[in-house]
Amino acid sequence: MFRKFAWQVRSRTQIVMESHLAWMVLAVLALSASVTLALSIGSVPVSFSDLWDSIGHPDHRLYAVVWNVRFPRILCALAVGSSLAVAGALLQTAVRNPLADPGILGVTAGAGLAALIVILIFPGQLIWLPAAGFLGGLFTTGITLGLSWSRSHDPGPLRMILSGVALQALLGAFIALLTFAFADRAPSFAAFVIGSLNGLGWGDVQIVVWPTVLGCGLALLLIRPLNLLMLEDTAASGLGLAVRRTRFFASCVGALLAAGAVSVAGLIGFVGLVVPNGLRLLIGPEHKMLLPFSAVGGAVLVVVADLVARTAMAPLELPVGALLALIGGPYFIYILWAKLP
Amino acid sequence: MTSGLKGRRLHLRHSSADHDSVRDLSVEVRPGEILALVGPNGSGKSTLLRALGNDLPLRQGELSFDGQPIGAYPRRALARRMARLPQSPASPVGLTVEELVSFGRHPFVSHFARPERSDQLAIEESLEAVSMSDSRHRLLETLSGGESRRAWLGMVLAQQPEILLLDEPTAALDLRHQWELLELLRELNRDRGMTIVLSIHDLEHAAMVADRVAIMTRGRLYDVGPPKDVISEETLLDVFRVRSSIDYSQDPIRIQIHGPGDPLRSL
Repeated sequence: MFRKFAWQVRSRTQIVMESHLAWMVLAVLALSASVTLALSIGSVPVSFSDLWDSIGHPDHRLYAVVWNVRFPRILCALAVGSSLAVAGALLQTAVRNPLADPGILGVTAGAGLAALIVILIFPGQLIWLPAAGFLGGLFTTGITLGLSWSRSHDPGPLRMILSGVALQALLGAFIALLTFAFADRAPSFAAFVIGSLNGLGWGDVQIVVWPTVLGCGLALLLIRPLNLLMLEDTAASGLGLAVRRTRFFASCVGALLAAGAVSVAGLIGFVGLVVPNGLRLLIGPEHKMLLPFSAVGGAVLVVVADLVARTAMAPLELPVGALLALIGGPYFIYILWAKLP
Repeated sequence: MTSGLKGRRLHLRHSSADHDSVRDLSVEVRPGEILALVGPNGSGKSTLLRALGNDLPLRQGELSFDGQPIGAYPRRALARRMARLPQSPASPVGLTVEELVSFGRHPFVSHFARPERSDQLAIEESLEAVSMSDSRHRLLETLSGGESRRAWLGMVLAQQPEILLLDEPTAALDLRHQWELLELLRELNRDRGMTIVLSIHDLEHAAMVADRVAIMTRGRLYDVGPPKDVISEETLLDVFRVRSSIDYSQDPIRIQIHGPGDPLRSL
């Protein structure tokens, strides 16, 4: 039913918005609106005029709230959302499976474990978190795909999910052991596993910005090869695509993006599943559109979700990961139920 | 133009199989000809086609394209000269016909360049050739089996290849579209000098479209030559195990099948 609706939406929008300009305007509007709202709403309400006045005025009474607390946290939310959504889009195309998501493939768990090890062993070198996470994430991707790939066929969706779940459980156990063994130094296990943006500051922005920018940039270079990767291997290689190399490279970029997100926010799930799959229904699977819109869509989703998470039960701050799982879980079931044979 | 393919003593095997599905087969595809591969199910037609398209590593033997080993061609360079259409490719959901056809230009558009006018022209021509111009904005999953087939054919035509490899292109097409497709292949062959290799089940169609027919059975080449020379009642009994009578006075030949029969000699 929804799919039919989405087709109609898509064919109609193709007529009305042939240049996709309207979609872009909409995306930019949504992004600025969500950032503005997230800046002004919170335990200390900030009016729009105060928001405007405080820009560049460190002596403004709300400057610290807006620019030292909320703004870096929002920047992290933007980066985490874009990274996870683009990583999801990349991985889904790379393994040709709508269920591929950094969380489900175990990429975030692998990155999380690696990041945790750095936090515990090299506490002064946190800038290397994404690099360590990248290696951990890539390693896990490799294992999941290796376990699910039978030699001559595409990875079956079921095998892939089961491999991911098994690996996730295993890595989760290691994460639990580490956080409990080093309870004095490790971040809170619950917050880390469910994913949270609580208390992030400019230092965290510095950590997450590089993998996000680098990963999104590399993803843009992959637009055309990714398009061909939507076809079966034999058709794609017939068009001159180095299928395996492209798939490997796309998985690497996906792991890098996921690692950046995990480094600051823990194991946030489902963004990479919900955003690209939802967008495919609206604007189609073509990556020239899909990747930029996934970046914006993921950013908006996480900023809004985090806004809700920290205000819905104020003064209690919920972990944003819990909220996203509330949206993502049912969506995952929907895909399982409606999209897979 | 001398884009011929020459396979010598090929042994081929699918990666999942435990035996060779093509054994010790030598075949030549001559520049500018239409070669039809016919044979019972499992005789190795698709396997051979995949190998000819450099989509399957050779277990043994040599395969050359224009005198060079086919493996020596860079992927993209080969894709600019040779196109192949798999038997029943799965269509990605949400893609339009035009988007699919435009993929055929991939080997020609360098990574950072924008597609040029010639690319757009090739796409238009291909859409026109498979009569899908009016359906260009339709989504692939909304197409019928035959329309989807033609959309995919449009993609490989957009490659403007010298040599085209088609695995059962008429399967899933209704009578009219079968006939139109065969006409289109003849036209491409005649007007552009395109070399075409196709596998096909209908022997009358093979005789109608092909300059030469290669009859395969159990992974070997039974016979190859002009249709009227190699399609005989004896061949049909040996290879397809049916009794038949063939009317050679018609063009193309007319084959009437009488029923199952036992081969005169074992192969």
